[in-house]
Amino acid sequence: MQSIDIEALNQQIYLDSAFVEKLNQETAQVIVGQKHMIDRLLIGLLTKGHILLEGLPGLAKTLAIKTLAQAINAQFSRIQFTPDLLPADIIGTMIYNPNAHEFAVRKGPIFANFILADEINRAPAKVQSALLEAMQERQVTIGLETYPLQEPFLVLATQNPIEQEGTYPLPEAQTDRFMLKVKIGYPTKDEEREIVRRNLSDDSFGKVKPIIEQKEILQARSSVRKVYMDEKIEQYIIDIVFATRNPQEYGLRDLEPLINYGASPRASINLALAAKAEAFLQRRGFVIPEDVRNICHDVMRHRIGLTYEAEAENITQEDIIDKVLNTVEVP
Amino acid sequence: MRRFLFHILLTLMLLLTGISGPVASHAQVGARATIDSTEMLVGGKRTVRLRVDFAPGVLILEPGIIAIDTSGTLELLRTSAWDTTRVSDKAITLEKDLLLTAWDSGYYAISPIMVPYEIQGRTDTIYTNAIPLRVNMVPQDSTVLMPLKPIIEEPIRMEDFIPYLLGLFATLAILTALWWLWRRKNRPVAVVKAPPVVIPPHTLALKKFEPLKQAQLWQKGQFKEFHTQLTYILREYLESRYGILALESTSSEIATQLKSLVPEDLLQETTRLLNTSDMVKFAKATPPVEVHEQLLEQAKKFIHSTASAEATQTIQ
Repeated sequence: MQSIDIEALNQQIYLDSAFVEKLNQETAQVIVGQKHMIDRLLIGLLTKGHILLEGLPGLAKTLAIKTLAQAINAQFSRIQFTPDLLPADIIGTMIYNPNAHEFAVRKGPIFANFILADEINRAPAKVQSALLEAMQERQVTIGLETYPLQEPFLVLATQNPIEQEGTYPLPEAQTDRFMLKVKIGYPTKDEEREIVRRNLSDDSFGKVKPIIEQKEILQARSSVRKVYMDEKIEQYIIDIVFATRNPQEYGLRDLEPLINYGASPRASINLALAAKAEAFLQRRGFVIPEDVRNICHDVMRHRIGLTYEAEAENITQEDIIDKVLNTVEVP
Repeated sequence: MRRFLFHILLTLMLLLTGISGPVASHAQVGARATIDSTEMLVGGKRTVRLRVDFAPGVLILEPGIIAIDTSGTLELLRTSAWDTTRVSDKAITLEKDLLLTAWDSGYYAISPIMVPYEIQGRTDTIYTNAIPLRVNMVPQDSTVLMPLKPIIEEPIRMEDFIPYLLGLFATLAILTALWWLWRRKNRPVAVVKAPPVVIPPHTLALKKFEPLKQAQLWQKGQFKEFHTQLTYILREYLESRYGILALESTSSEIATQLKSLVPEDLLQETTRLLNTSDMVKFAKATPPVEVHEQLLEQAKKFIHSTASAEATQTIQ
């Protein structure tokens, strides 16, 4: 086969993505299972995206991001969102220094590489907005000074799906800012057995060694952007997104009363970007439809609004996406 | 004035009664009429009691009543039978009630009633006294305007609806007849459709490969287009042949679905075909010229091998 450009690109991507396997091996020393979550964290890291994580407590969410931060020698901070949290508690504030007779900046926990915003829906809207603005702008203004946030910068926000009382659910426009919404489930029996054994053994979980530098992550980011995406794949992505907006045009008339609003252009952008990152993780220099389908649920599930009719019939975004994927022709 | 005349008439009658009374009693038969009231309203009723006293041996006959008054205004409604109210050795008393009414106001005199009787084979008569009677109109107060009486509702009867029901049935019958006539006129002409020709999936796929080969797309350098069409025909065939969502599945998903449907060697060849085509379609790969024809032949081979039993006969 002769495909000089792609072959070279493929080779380059193969080399650039070499750290992925090492990273997986390293994190596996600490985290049992949750491969899907780790992959999605890497996708977020490689595409400058942020991740909204939904899962029950105790599923190693904190451990996963903490481990990843250690593996790439990055700074990690965790913010527990509570109803009395203030924006200044996240971004920082000006503190008066009586000795120097001046105000000094005290940076908030957002000044880290990896942020775990735990139970983001427990804080009021103004706090959520402060975080989401920082996520979007990648900079924070304290007083009159604007401080850029350090790269790589990844926010992993969690939502507890069961205790909804006294929470402030994120508005649709805000959830759209998250690149992926990842749902994590319980580990398998074997994984659970391994978790129990590891926790009961004398040795605690293995300490993670830094195996990659931050600058390598930044380099990998540029490699991800170079991954080749054919126009047929682009068309496939557009078709998937448009099928959620105009289902009848794709022979999905039955979905029309179930969808309140379809996926936004951010969905198309992020689906394309995430598919490239997925190809990168597979150590491939080009995107195939498989990559799009693998990442589609995580990109789309928080971007489709359901009608009351759908909710009454217990139809979820997952069902809508499945139906769309099973109807739109693969190139 | 009328009241004055009535009193004079009443006095005269009482005098006459006083004269004739002794005559009757002298004849051993006495008759007397009394009334419960000498006044009544128009349409009211009054009872005149006729009493005859007589000695044993006298036979009282039915009184001959032609008219109860001279003007004929009073109406005799009912007459009771003789009722013996007193019997002794010397005298017997019979009584009879006459029920009267009047429909016009005025002063009337109930005429003396003739009572015939027989005594010792001889027939004689005796008359009762006359009785004045005043018939009054219903008192009206003309100074007050009385409210109108409510309309008396007639009871609803089934018969009242019969004309409407008949009209309704007639309308429905006319409409039904019109609809029937219209339908009869516009009845579509039955067109016998020929049964759709069912082309077996393998025939269709093999048929589609010919123009693809003749188009010589790879010779023209249109590799991507060639492989897109090649895999499309193959996936279309898989969808029709096995009922799997091949057009909506990726190459690896198709391979997974075919695992239980085709032999292992055929599966591997087909997977290779799909993967090579993916490389051409999505990674700008340009395989050697002979590979395109090989893949086309491989696709044909797959279809020949997987066509159903009856379809195989058709191919041969």
